[in-house]
Amino acid sequence: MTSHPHEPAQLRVVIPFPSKEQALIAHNSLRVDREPKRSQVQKTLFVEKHCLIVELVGPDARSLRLSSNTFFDHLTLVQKTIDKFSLDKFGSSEPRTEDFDGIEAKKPCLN
Amino acid sequence: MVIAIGLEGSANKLGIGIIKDGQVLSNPRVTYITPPGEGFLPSETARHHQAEIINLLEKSIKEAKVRPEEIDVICYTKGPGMGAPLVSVAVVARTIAQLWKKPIVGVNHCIGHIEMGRHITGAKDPTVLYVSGDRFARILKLSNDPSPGYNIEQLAKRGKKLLALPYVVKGMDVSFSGLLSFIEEKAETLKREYTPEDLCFSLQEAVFAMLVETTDPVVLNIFLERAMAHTGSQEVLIVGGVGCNERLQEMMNRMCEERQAKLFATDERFCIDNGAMIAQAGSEMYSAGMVTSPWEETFCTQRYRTDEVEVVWRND
Repeated sequence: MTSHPHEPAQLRVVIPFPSKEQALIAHNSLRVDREPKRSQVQKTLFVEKHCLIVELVGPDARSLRLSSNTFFDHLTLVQKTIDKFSLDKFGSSEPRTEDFDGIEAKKPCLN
Repeated sequence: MVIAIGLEGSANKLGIGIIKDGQVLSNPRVTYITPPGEGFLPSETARHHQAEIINLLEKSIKEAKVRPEEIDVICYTKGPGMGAPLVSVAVVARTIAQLWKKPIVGVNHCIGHIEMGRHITGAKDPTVLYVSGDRFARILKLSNDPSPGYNIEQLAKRGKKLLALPYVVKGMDVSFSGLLSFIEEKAETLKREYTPEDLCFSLQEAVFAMLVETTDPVVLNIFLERAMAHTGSQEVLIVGGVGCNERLQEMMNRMCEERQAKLFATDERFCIDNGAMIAQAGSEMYSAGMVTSPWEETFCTQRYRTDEVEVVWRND
C-alpha cells in the first residue's frame, strides 16, 4: 500500500436520519468528544437537512479506518438509543408518523 | 423532590441507577469479566458497555417503575477512568438528555463513591478513605468475579507466611505502585516460596498496615491522623472496591475506637462501581445548581482529581 507522502487521505460519510431533529440530536451527542491524542485524524461533523455528515482527514487509510470504526460504534449506539428511548416511542409498539416536511425527508443528501 | 438517573462505566463495571429523593429505586449492573490474569483493555471494555447499555438502561427504568418524563436530571461519569468506556456511556447520556429534554450533569467517579457512602451511612463530615485494588489481583491471576478485592480477601484468609513488602509515603499521598512493582518484578521467584494465599495475606497486611495502626511502623496511620486532625473530623468513611474488605474494616474500626472516632462503610452494592452513586452525587449537584453547561463541557476525562470539584452542595 502506498500513499502520497504529502496529501492526506479523506473520508466523507453521509448518514440520513428520519428527521432533521434526530440528525441534530446525533450531531450533539457525537460532536463533543475529541479524537484520542495519538490519533492523527481530524474529524468534522455537521448537519445538512436531515443528514449527519462526517468528514475525516488523516495521514493514511489505516488511521481513517480506526477513526471511522469508533465513530460508527458510537453512531450505532446513538441510533439505538433514539429508536428505543424517544418519548413517543418508549413502551409503544406503533412507529410514530413523522410530522416534518415529507418531501424534504425523501430528497437524497448526495447530489 | 428530585428523580435522578446515573450512568457509570469508567472501568469494567457498567451500572445505571435511579434515585428518587435519596431512595434507590433501581441499581442494576453488569461486569465485563476477563479471564483470570488478564486485565481489561479499554477498547474491549468499551465494546462490552456498548453491547449492554441499551438493555441495562431499559432494565433500570422498568425496575424503578418511573417514566422517562419523570426523571429530572441525567447524570453520567465524567471521569476519572478509561477513555473509550467513559465516552461510550457519555454518548448515551447525552442522547437521552436531548430526547427527554432534561439537564445533564457530569460527575466525578470518586465523588460518586464518597457521596453515596455519606448518604447511606449518615456520616456527616468524615475523613474519607478511597481504596481500589484491581492491579494486584491481575498479578496473581485471581478471578475478577465478583471483584478482585473480594478474591484477594478470600485467599488472604488462608495465608500463613508473611512476606515483608515495601511501601512509600510522600506527604499526604501514599503510593502503592512501588509495592505492586516489587511484586510484579519478583512474582515468578516469589511464587516458588510463597503460595498465592501467602502473597494475598502479605499484601493485605502491608496495605492495611499502611492504612491503620499495627505492630509494624505506621505510615498511613500517620496520614490518617493528620487528615483527621486537619479536617477536625471524628468520622472515617471507607469507599471503593477494597472498602468492602472485612479485614480492612476490622483494622480501621480498631484505630477509630482508639481515637473515639466512628467508622462508616457500605456493603458491596455501593463499594463496587454502580450507577446509583452517580445519580446521588449528580442529584446533589443539580439541587445546588451545578448542571454541566455549556454543552461542550459534557466531555469525558481520564484524569479528574477529586479536589478539582467544587463542593458547593455541602456547607458542613
